[in-house]
Amino acid sequence: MLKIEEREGGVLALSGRFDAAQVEAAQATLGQATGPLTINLAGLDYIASAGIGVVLQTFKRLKAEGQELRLVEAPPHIRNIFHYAGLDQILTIE
Amino acid sequence: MSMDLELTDTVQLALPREMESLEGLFSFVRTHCARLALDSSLVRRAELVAEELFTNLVKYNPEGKHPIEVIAGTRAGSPQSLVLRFVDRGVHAFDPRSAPRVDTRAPLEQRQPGGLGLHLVLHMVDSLDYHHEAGDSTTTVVLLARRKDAEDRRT
Repeated sequence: MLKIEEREGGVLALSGRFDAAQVEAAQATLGQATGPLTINLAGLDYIASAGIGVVLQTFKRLKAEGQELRLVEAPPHIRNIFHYAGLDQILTIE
Repeated sequence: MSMDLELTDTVQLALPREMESLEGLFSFVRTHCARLALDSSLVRRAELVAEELFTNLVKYNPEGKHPIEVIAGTRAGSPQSLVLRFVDRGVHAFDPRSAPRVDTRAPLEQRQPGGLGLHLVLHMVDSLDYHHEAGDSTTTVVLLARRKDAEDRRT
């Protein structure tokens, strides 16, 4: 199950598992988020391509609005998935 | 080729073709991996591979009427291996090996939607085979323990 916690300063903290069954719920939150946005991934155990797709949609939307999206505190195995997807060159991952 | 692979320690599950089946799929994979005492990083790769292959069948075989069968096992002679086989009956052929590749170096705006899941699968598995006969589609992947798995575990 994926949990999304809203924190101060335009931060959304994702924890748990971001699989294809979580897409609809995640889109409901991320689709409304305004920029600049920071997504904290410290508590994320798992992400699949469906979850990456939601993050990418959010990135594209915010970019079109002239806003920034940053991903922070990604655990190594989550960072690896973004790397394999070739997205660590496109997204800001800290 | 996949049909010639000799499997041992097999277990089988049939899952309704819907996203809500994912939790059952993960549980099946984790339980099997625990039984074989497989490395936790290999288990993580296995979960991702299982999700991507299963959701592809759900999304791209809409004519399918049957549950999707999942078989987990070990490659004979390779105790630190995991074999996952997905059997989808009564569907058209879709060979994941011939799907268009994602260009991960292309700017985001130029990338075509879709294909990322299979791209990740090909990174995670050590082999992928496909077989289609009499409407039955069978995808088989083999995952072997990698040195990098142990490195990942320490990080």
